[in-house]
Amino acid sequence: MGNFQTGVSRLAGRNVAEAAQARDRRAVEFLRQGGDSFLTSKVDAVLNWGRKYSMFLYPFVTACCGMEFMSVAGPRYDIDRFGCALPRFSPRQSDLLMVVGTITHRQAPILKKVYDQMAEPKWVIAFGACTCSGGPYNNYATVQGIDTIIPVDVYIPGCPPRPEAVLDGVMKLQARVQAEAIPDDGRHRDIVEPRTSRSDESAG
Amino acid sequence: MPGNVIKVKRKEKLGILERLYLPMIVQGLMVTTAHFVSNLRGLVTGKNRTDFVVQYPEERVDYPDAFRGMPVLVQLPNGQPRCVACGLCEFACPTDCISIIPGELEGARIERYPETFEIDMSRCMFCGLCEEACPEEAIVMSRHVELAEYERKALVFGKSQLLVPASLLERRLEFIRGQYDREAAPPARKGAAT
Repeated sequence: MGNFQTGVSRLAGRNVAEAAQARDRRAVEFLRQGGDSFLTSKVDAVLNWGRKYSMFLYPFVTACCGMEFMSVAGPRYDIDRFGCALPRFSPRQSDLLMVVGTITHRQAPILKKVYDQMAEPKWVIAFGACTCSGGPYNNYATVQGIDTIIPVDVYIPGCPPRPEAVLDGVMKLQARVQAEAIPDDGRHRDIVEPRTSRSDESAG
Repeated sequence: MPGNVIKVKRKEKLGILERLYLPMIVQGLMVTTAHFVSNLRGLVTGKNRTDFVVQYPEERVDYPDAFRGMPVLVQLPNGQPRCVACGLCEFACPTDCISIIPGELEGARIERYPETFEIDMSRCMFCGLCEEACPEEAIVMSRHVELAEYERKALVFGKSQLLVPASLLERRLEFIRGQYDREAAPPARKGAAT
């Protein structure tokens, strides 16, 4: 915008029509250069603003963290203040998969299926130590972090996390959603290949 | 006596207003509206607030003394950790989330120090056993709980993230001295016989 105005003032002494033409050319050039990205960045901003304040979450509650999840969803630490309440118990209707509690290897295919059934755009929050890394259950029965199965956007550690920690995680997710660019084909992002081995980490 | 039982007298027959139904609906809505208006006024002006919600990023609840947040290392005034890398917390930790590599300082009064001190916050369950095991009061539970991260690797906290000046941890240090019968006299408890 600044370029525009300096251009006009420099041309002010000339013929007015000529100046207007030059200005139009510059404007067209400016739009051509910025072009698509100018427009889509604005659309992205508006869409993301809508998305981040209207998360429908799917509570995948399997263990004791569920109590703390209820505490967050309750009136004291109302998660609805962040537009992130309204649990939908159908994966097709939800944007945010909140994995709350220990995921065993027997549970893992179900979690994967639920994630695959969710429609894009979709986000995942790992709620609690067990979902982040397996937590205290470093054994043969427990999945050592759900990021070995599905991609995770925000990790909230704690055993269980305080409601403040969860709200902090939700705000971090909102910041992430706002920063996302929406590709031309309308997909929220490329499918992230989940990591299959945890060999880079020591067993404990 | 387990609570008072109040017997409510209810009218057996409905009056004309109740039977008309609409006036009672309006009355009920007025109660709701009155609550809404008073809560909204309280929220905006900050006076006479009656709503129950904690407006989290702006407001917080005060945790009790016994609250355990993330474990931190006590930092001495010279910037070094108080920790002597004895490894007792590592041994006491039920989730094996602490890993220490000890180092040695030549000619210092306290020779041992932790060269690296890492706590995997994604595994830590804030149980406080490390704090209880520590003979030096070097690792204590703080009141910090907001640990959400985008990356799992970022949740492995090193020494730079764990060190907290001792002056900020006075409240907890006082508490554990009483709790674990450390050398300082335990604080007088309310209602205690002695």
